Amino acid sequence: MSAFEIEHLATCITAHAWNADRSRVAICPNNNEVHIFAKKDNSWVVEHVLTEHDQVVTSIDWAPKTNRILTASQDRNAYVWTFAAGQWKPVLVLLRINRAATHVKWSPQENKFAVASGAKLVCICFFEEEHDWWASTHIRKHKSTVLKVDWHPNNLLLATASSDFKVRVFDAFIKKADGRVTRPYGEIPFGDPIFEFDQCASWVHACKWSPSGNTLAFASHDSNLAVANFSSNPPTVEKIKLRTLPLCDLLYLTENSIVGVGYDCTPVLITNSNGWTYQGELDKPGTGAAATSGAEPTNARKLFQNKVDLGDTKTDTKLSTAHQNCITTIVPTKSAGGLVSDFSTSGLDGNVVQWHTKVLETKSKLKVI
Amino acid sequence: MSLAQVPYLTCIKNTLNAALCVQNFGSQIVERHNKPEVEIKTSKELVLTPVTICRTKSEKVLIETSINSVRLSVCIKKSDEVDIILAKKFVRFLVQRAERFVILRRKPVEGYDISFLITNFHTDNMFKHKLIDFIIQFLEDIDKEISDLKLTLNARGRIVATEYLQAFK
Amino acid sequence: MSNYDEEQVETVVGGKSDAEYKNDIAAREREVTKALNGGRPQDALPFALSDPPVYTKTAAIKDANADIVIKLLIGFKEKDIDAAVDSLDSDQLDVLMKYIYRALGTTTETSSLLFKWHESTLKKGGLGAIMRVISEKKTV
Repeated sequence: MSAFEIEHLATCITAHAWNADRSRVAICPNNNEVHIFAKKDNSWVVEHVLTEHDQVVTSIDWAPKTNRILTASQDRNAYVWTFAAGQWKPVLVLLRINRAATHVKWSPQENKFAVASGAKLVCICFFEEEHDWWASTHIRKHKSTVLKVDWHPNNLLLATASSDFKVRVFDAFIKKADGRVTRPYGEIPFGDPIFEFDQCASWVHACKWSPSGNTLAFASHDSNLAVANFSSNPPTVEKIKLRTLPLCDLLYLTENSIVGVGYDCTPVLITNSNGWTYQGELDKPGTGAAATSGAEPTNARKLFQNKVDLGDTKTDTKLSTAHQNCITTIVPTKSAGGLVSDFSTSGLDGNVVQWHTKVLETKSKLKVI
Repeated sequence: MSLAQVPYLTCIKNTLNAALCVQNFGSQIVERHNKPEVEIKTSKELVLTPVTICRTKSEKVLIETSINSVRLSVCIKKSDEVDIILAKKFVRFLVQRAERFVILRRKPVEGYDISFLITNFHTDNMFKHKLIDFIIQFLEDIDKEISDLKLTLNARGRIVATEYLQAFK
Repeated sequence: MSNYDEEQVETVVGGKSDAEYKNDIAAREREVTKALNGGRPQDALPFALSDPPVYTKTAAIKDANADIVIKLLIGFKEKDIDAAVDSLDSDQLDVLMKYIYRALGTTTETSSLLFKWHESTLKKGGLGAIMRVISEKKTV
């Protein structure tokens, strides 16, 4: 069994999301449309094209339980799409923002969602029964564009990553949506950050909660990865300097293993056993951590080196990695027993790649813990 | 490519590889716009530290990076006045065809001969490693191009002089 | 609200006062001169890279410190560079990379030696080291 399957679905993909049973995938081919692919026989074919946005779609999230698609675009709008009578019907969300929407995420219970935006704020959106629309409240307090958001598994806390070099954690409790619940940090006024992390020296590309919500990982443009541990208050933060180019997105395979993807075009593994350490590239035959974390040049660099050393211009300049350009999104596709056994990545090269954790482990001789 | 150029170009290559980590980024100042931040410089936090790589006094590149765009400016090697004139003419020729050159900036940054502006839209549609290869190839060629022009110019001058002086034989 | 507090995004706080940095620089200069005179520049490298004046706002202090570090870097023989770089940890590599870029931007006569420094440091520190040079606001 191969470690991955590549599907080339477009020339460039900005975001992708799967439905609950992974029979369909929604992608944005770097324009204002969202294409929904379904597997027919052995190939993926376009089933629906969603055309309501009028600028590039930045993010897609497909709610598994309620089967609703959420899309956001640089045209300042977000839509909630519901499937009825063979058609996807859009409903505009009242975001009340005047800059691009950059990232969207359903909350774990799917009763509300968060929209990050270039207006230096985050919208927490919820359904107002009496008006029959999606309304929103704003969390400001950001000094630059919010690039990513992620929900804590408790459905209340929200982490935001911003280009003002900070990661913040908010209590996104909405009375109308959540009703009566115990809030983890008490009655904090809406929109006040509970924690603010300033470990990053450049804009923060990604933030992700661990499956239990005990740790929060974030990656920034200065090629750093930091993990905040919430078992103490205030949380402790561990910082890992990477030798590679920055990571754009993160995924927890288990509580102690993170896969990062980004400008290096290949997934890398970071694990925690008494401290987080960089283990190496997953899609690369290796002899364990020692060999891969050493002074190995990246693929792209090797290419240049060849060209410089050999004056070689004719060799095909195809990278040896599955992706040929920056990977922007990583999502889990199958989990079993507290381990994400399959995940998929999409990137600017237009490929959606499905990876199998077990096979990758054997190939790279790295261990997911 | 001359051997002495190799370390210089490798250094530029690696720096570009790091600098060209750009993403699509809608303007946070102007509604529904998407502008190269390295050009407008309205949000300081989105622009990174520029670096200069000098080989000799006249031969250097400036690499400026921002969240969605990179600007690379080149100073071409000029050893005498003829070089200066030739470089100017050659660059003028290229800039007039900037449309077809895609990443060429119409006007060079002050103090430099020629500038490239690479945005996230270029890295979306072209492979990053090929884009860098192209720029390095260009840097290799431009020196050769100008020294070739200089040779031709000198040869031509010699013929003209010989022909002219024939009359006084 | 468009540009509010933009300054604050940039501010780097902490570190020492200018006077303390001046003392540091004097100590560094002694050490570097000693090592250069003794013909063993590698001895002074870790000390030269420790605690750079990244927090000061006074350009003159950064200049003075950079002059000393760069003097040390170009005092190396090409064959000693790899070994010297190998002995550094990742924080020192980041600082070294920053000084290499600073040197590349100013000095011209010794560029080939600096390219060698660049190559060795990149090999050891990876592209991440260059990322941190261009993205960190804490310049040297």
